[in-house]
Amino acid sequence: MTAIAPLSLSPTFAPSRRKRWSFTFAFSVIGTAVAIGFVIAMVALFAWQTVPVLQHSGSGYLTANNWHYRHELFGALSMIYGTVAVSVVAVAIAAPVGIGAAIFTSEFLPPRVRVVVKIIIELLAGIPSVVYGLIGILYLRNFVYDSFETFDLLSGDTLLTAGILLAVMILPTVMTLSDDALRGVPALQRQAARGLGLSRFGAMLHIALPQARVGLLAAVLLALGRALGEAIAVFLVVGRQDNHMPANVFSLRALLEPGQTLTSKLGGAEVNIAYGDPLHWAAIVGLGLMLLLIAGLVTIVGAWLETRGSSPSMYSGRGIKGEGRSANDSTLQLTALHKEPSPPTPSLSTRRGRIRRHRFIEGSTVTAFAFCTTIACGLMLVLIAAIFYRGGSALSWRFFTEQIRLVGADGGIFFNIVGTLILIFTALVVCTPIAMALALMQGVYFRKRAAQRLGIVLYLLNGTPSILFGLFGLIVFVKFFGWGKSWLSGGILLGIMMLPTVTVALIERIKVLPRKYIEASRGLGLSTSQTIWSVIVPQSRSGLVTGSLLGLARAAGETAPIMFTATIFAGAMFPHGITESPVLSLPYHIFVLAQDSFDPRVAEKLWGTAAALLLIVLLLSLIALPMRLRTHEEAAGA
Amino acid sequence: MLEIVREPSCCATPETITPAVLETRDLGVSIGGRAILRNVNLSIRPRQVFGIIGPSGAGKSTLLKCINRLIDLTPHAQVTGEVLFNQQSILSQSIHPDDLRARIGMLFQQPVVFPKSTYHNVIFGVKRLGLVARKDLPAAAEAALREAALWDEVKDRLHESALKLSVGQQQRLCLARSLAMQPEVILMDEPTSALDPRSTEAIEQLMTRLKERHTIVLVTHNIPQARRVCDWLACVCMNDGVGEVAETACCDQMLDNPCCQAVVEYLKAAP
Amino acid sequence: MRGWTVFAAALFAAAPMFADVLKINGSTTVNPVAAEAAEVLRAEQNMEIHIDTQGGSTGGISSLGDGLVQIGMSSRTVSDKDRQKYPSAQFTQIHIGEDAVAIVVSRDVWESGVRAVTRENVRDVFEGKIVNWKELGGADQRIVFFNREPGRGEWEVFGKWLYGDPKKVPAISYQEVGGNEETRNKVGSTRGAVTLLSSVWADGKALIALAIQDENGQAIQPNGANIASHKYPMSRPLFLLTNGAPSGEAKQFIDFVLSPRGQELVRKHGYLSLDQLVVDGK
Repeated sequence: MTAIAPLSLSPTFAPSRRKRWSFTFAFSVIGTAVAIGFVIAMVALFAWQTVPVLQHSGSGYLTANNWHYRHELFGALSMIYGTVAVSVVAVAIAAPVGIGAAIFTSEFLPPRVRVVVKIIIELLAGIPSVVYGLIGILYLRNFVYDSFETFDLLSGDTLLTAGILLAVMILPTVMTLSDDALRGVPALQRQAARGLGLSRFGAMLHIALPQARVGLLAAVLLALGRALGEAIAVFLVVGRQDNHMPANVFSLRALLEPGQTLTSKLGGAEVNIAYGDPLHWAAIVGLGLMLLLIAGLVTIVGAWLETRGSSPSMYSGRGIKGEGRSANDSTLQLTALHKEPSPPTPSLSTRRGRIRRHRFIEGSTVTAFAFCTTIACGLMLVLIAAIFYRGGSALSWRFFTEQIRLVGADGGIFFNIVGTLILIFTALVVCTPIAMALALMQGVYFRKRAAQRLGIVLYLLNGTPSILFGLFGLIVFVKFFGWGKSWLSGGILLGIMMLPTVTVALIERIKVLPRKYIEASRGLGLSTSQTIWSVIVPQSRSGLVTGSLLGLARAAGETAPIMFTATIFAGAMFPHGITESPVLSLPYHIFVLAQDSFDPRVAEKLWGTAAALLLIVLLLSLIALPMRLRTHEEAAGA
Repeated sequence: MLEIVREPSCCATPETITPAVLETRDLGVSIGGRAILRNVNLSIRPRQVFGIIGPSGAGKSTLLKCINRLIDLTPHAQVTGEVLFNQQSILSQSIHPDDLRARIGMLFQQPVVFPKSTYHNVIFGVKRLGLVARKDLPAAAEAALREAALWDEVKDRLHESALKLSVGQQQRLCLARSLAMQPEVILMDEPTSALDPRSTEAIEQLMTRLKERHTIVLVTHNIPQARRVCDWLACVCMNDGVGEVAETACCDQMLDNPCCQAVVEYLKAAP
Repeated sequence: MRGWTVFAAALFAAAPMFADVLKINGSTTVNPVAAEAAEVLRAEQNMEIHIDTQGGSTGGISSLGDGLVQIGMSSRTVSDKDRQKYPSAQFTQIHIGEDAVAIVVSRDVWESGVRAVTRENVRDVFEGKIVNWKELGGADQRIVFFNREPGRGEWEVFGKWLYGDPKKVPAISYQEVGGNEETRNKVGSTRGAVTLLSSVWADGKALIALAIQDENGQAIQPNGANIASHKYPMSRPLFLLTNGAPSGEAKQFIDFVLSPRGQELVRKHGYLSLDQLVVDGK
C-alpha cells in the first residue's frame, strides 16, 4: 500500500516514502547538476584566470579610475560606475512602463486582445541586440544629442543613450513576466473581490497587485540581469570613453557624458588584443568576474526580499486543507449560536451613506496604464517599420536562397539563415531537457529552501552577460577541447543561455497548476514520477512553448556568444562534423558589415538581413499561436 | 414542454403578499453562443431563504450570478430578459454593477479567503469602499463576526493569517465579510458542499438566523438541507439541454407533493 | 557512456581531415579585398576558404602566430613586440596595397574654414592643449575628438606619426569608435568632430579629409602620389601575412591577390593598388 504523501503548504511536496530511484528523479538530478556545474565552472575558471591582475593591482583594480592597458594600469572604477548607471536608468524607465502595460493588458483587456499584445511584445524581444545598436546609432543618439542641446553634449553617445536603449530592450522581459505574475493570481480571488462590490480597478489594486508583487519583483530583477549583461547594443552607443567619472554622480549631467561599462569593454577590441598576454587577459576576464558578482548580488538581494514579503503560496479558493480541526469548531459554534443573541446593528452614524468611488482617479490611472501599453506596442511597430523600410527592398526569393557575393553587396544570405537555424535548433535540443530537469527539481522535488537556492542559480545564469558565455566557450571549447570554431559550441552556449528564460516559464506554469489534478493523480495511487509525466508535463507544455520562444528569439539574435566560438564571416556552408565546423549566422553578419562595409549597396542588404531575422522570430511566434490561444481561453474561463 | 410555475394556494399566507425584493422576467443566458438558461421567471420575497435546486449543469450557479451581475465577468456571456432588484431593473445602466454587488453579497462553494489576516478579510469590503469610518472598523468587524457566529473562535487571533482557519471557519469568514457590507440579499452557491457535516450544520443554523434581516438565495444539491432551511424552492431542470424553471413552490409543498414530472424524477434520484 | 567516448575520440581523430580549409583572419580593412578574392577562388577553383575579422590587425597576427590560420590580414607592420610574442613564427609580410589615413572632420568644421593642420596642432589637440576650433582657424566650436579603438591599424599609424612610437602615446582617454562605418556615422553627425579615418571613407559630404601642413607650410593632400613619395606621412600598408614563405593554397590565394584581377579588387574597395604607388616608392 502506497503511503499517502503528506501535502505541505508549499507547491512542492515530499516524494513518496517508498522512494525508488526513478528515472525521472535521476534525470532531474543530472540536469540540475549540469546547470549548476556550468555556473561553478564558469566562476572558477574566470576566478583562476583573474589572479595575475589582482596580484598586480590589488584593490586598485576595483577602486582606481585609471585603465590604460598599454601602460599596464588596470583600474576599473569608471566601468563599474558605468554599468550601474546604465542599468539603473534602464530599469527606472522599463519597470514602470512595463508593469503598467502588464497591468493594463492582464486586467483590463479581453483575452484575445491580450494575446495579440503579448505576441507583439515578444517580437520586440526578438530584435537582435546588434540591430538595436544600429537603430541606436542612426536615430536614438541623434535624438539625445538634439534634445539635450542646452547641456552642450560632446556627442549623442552617452550613458543616458545606452540606458534608454537598454530600457527598450528589457521592456519585453518586464512586461511578459509581470503579466505572468498577475495571471498567476487566481481568478477566484478577483471574483470574490468583485462580488463584494469592488470595481475592476479596485480588484486589481487590492487583490491582484499585492498578491503578484513577488512575481513582479522577480520580473524586474530578471530584467535588471538582462540589462547588466547586454554588451553589443551598449557597446555601440555608450561612447566607450575610459576613465571618465562625473563630478556629481547624482546629476543629470553625469548621464549625459560618454562612458564605459564592463560589458562594452568586453565587447570591444581589447579582448582580442589581450588574448595571449597573461596580465591583460587577467584584467579582462576579471571584468567578467565582476559582472558575475554584481549579478549575484542583485540575485541575493532579490531572494532575500522574496522571503521577507512572500505571501503563503497556497491561495484559498483552490484546495482542501486539513480536516482535523473541524470537530472542535462545531461544538463551539453550536454553543455560541445558542447563547448569543442577535448582535446589534452598528448604528447608522457609523455607516456612510454613499460608497466612496474614485472614478476619476481610477480612470486616469487606467488611462496611464493604457498609455504604457501603447508605448510598448508602438515602439514595436516603429522599430519594425524602420527595419523593413531600410531593408524591405532587399527581401526577395534570391535573397533567401543565394549565398553572399561581393562581400555582402550582392547575392543572398542563404547560408547565414542555415547557420542560424542550426544554432538555435541545437540550442533548443540542449536547453529543453535541462530546463525540464531544473523545473521539476524546483517545482516538485525540492523543498522550499533548496528551491530558493536553485532559484538563485537561475538568476545568476540569467544575469551572466552573453559575452562571458563567448569567453568561456573560447577557453573551453575552442582551445581546451580543441574544437576550433564549431556550430556545436555555439549551440551549447546558446542553449545554456536560454535556460533561465525557459525554466522560469516552466516553473511558473507548474506552480499554478490546480492542485486538484495532482491530488487526483496521487489519489489514484500514481507515484511522483508518473504524476509528473502524466499530469505535470502535459499541463505545463504551454510554459515550455512560451519560454522556448522567448529564449529562441533571443538566442537567434545573439552575436556575443557565437562570435568567438561558432561563426565566421564568410566561407562556411553546411557544417561537416563537429570540430572546425563553423557556420555563418545572421547576427554576426550584421555585426561585421555594420562596422566595415564600404560598398553602399551593403547597407540595404544589412537591413534586409535584420528583416530576415525578424521574420524568423515572427514565424516562431505564429507557430505557437494556436497553442497559446487555447491556454489563454482555459485560464480566462476560470 | 414543462408545466409552468404556479403557486399552490396552501402556501399563500398574508405575510407573503409583500413586494418581491428580487424578480426575474424571462431571463435567458447564453455563453459563447450556447444557451444555458431560458424563460426564468422568479419572484423572491424579502427575508426568507429561497432555495434553488436541480440537477448538475442545469444552470443554477449561472442564474445566481445573474442576480448580482457577476455574470459580466464571464467572457462571451449574453443575458436577455430582466432582473429587478427592489423593482429596479439591474440589467439596464441605471445601477452600476459595482454598487449592486455591494448590496448583494455572495458566498461561493469554495471559501475564497484573501491571504491576509482574519481582521483584514472581514473589513476588506467596507474599508475599500469607504462604507465605515476608519475608527469604527474594529467595531464593524466584531459585529460582522458575531453575526456569522465566528467571533468567539477568532477573537484572540484576529491578526493571524486567515489561511490558518479550518474550511468551515473560512466559509463563515467569507460570510462575515459579506455581512459587514450589510447587504439586503445574500447569494449562496452551494456553500456547504465543501464542508464537513458539523460545519454544514453550523452554517445552516446561521442561515435560519440571518433571514431575520436578510434575504438569502441558496443554491443547493442537498435536499435534506433544502428541507431544513428553505422557505421557498424553485427547481431548475434541463429541457432540451437548456435550463428552465420547472416549478416554484413553498418548500414542503414541492418536496412532498411535486407537480412537475421533471421535478419528480429529480427528487427520486436525489438523496 | 562508452559509446560517447568512442564517438568523441573519433571526432578528434577526424580533425586533421578538415585541415585543408584555407583560414584567413585579421584586419577589417583588408577584409573586403580578401573576401571578394575568396569568392572568386571559391567559384572558379573550388577552394574552401574561411574568412573572419576577429581582433583586427592584431588579431590577424595573433591567430597566425597561434597557428589558428594560414593567412593573417594586417594593415600595419608586424612589430618587434609581435615577434617577441611568437618567437617561433616567421612572419612574412606580402604587400598588396596601401591605404591613406586622413585627419577627417565633420562638415561644419570644414565649412568654418579649417583646411589643413600641422603635426604640432594635432598633438596639441590630442593632448588637450587646444580645445576649440577657433584656435585653428575655424569657428567657436569645441573640438570633439573621436579616438579609434585599440588594435586598429589607423591608430597605430597615428601614434607613430605623432610620437614616433605607438608605445610612447600618453595615457589619455577619449570616446572611441570602432569600424569605419560606425566612425562615418558618428563623426559625420556630431558638430566639431575630428577623427582618423581611411581617406577613401571621407566622402566629402558629411566627412572631409584635412590636408597635413608640412614644415614648409605646404598642404599635403592624402593621395596616391603623396603617399608613394612619402610626403603624406600617414599611410598604412595592407599586408597578407604567412608563417614562412607562402605555400600550397595560401600561395594560390596570395598570387591571385597580387595578379591584375586581384589588384583591381584592391582599387575597387578604395585602396591604392601597388602600381599606383609611384616607382620610387615601393
